[in-house]
Amino acid sequence: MNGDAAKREAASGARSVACPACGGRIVARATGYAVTLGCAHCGSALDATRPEVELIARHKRAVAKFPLALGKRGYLFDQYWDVIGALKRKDALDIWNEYLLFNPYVGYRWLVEYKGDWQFGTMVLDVPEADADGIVWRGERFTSAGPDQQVTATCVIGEFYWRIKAGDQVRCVSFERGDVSLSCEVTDEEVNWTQLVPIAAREVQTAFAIDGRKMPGRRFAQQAHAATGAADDLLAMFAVAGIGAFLALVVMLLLAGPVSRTVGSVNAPYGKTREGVLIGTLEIKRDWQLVSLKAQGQDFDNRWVDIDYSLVDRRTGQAIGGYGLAERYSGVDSDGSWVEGSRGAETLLGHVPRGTYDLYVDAEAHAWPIDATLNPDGSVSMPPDGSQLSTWAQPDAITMTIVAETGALPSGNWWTVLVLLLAWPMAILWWRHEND
Amino acid sequence: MNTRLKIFTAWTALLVAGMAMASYFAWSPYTDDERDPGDRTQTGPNHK
Repeated sequence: MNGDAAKREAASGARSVACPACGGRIVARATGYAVTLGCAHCGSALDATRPEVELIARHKRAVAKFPLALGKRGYLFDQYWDVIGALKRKDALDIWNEYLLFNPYVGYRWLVEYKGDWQFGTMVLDVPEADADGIVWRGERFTSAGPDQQVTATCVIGEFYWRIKAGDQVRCVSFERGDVSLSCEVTDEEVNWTQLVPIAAREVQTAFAIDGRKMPGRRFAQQAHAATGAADDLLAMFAVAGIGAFLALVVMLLLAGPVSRTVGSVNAPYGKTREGVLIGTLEIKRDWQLVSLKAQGQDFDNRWVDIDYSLVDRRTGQAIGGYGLAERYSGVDSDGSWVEGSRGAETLLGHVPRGTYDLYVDAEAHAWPIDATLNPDGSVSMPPDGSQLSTWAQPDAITMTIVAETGALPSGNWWTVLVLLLAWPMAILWWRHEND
Repeated sequence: MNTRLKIFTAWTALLVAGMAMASYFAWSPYTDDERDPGDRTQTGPNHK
């Protein structure tokens, strides 16, 4: 230390000592008050109560960088403050910075910085009173901000009016009223209350002339910018998904045709199968096409119709089979009338190769809940206890109209593609919503 | 265009290509030609 610096320190009341661990120069500004000194060079904790400072805990690691450097002087709340100590502390979820400010005429204050938000802390000497709903301090009620947390100091530099080193733990609980909070720290020896009021980051930056690039707020602004980029990315993903869905629809429409159609009907008798009814002929004009088979009945109730389709290739005699079921039920119960099912049935046959096909249908009708018996002579025997079923079990034939078409659209494919396209951006959207 | 968007675009292209293939071969997982015949016994109303 040169002579001028020694004179300045003597004039300010500051004391300069050498770190026993690394030899670095440490200036104790709150001479006579400081209990612990933290070496700003190596992070070692020193006992400042001895004439020659004594090592409490040795650290060889480089101390963490703090946006607000030790020794900075700033003007806040109508006073000048020296930054004499800095802490990094963490709980189960977060990590934050605390700075100890000192003014020889006013005493100690705190600056707490968490994710770019700053608070100015003043020690509270008039202890709040606890009640069932929270605490009352100076006539105002503060409510709990959450369960108490175990808070650990992870980095200590500078000087402090109590003994502290990295790894020290306290129990901490906070209470809020508006944007003012009261923080209570409990150790085995004492309980400390601190009032924390918010202070704008720009005000802190101006007061202590902090380089804007070092301000945490700037870092988080960059993160916010990155988040905005992610949002734009999400919009782009939805746009890509929309374009993809449109292209898939166009591809499906272009590759489905051409359309060949035939219409016929079959009388589905009650209780026996009508077999081999020729509905019509279909021409498959592409290498492969889907064939849609639609059956529609009229005016039947509490009955179902089984329909077996056979699409027989005229050239090879090979048959492609399919099955349709049209069923409709209704009734009346204590809740009123009800209806279930449909008189129509749709069947989709896939991967039908090029060729000319005859469509044959086997059909059979049934009654619910039980079939009557059709005798060989054509008469009908009702179930022994089926008198009450007679209105449901009357034998008849149900006429089903069959419409067969080539070039059917596999709409299920398109909906599947749409779900697979939207799953990704929707998952990101959900994740962001859950983590906001 | 970031990596995530590139991967998603590739995924979209893959799905559209898959849709084109399925349409060309007239394939769909929702066709009825291979339906289990056991389904035929599932008749009657579900109303309770």
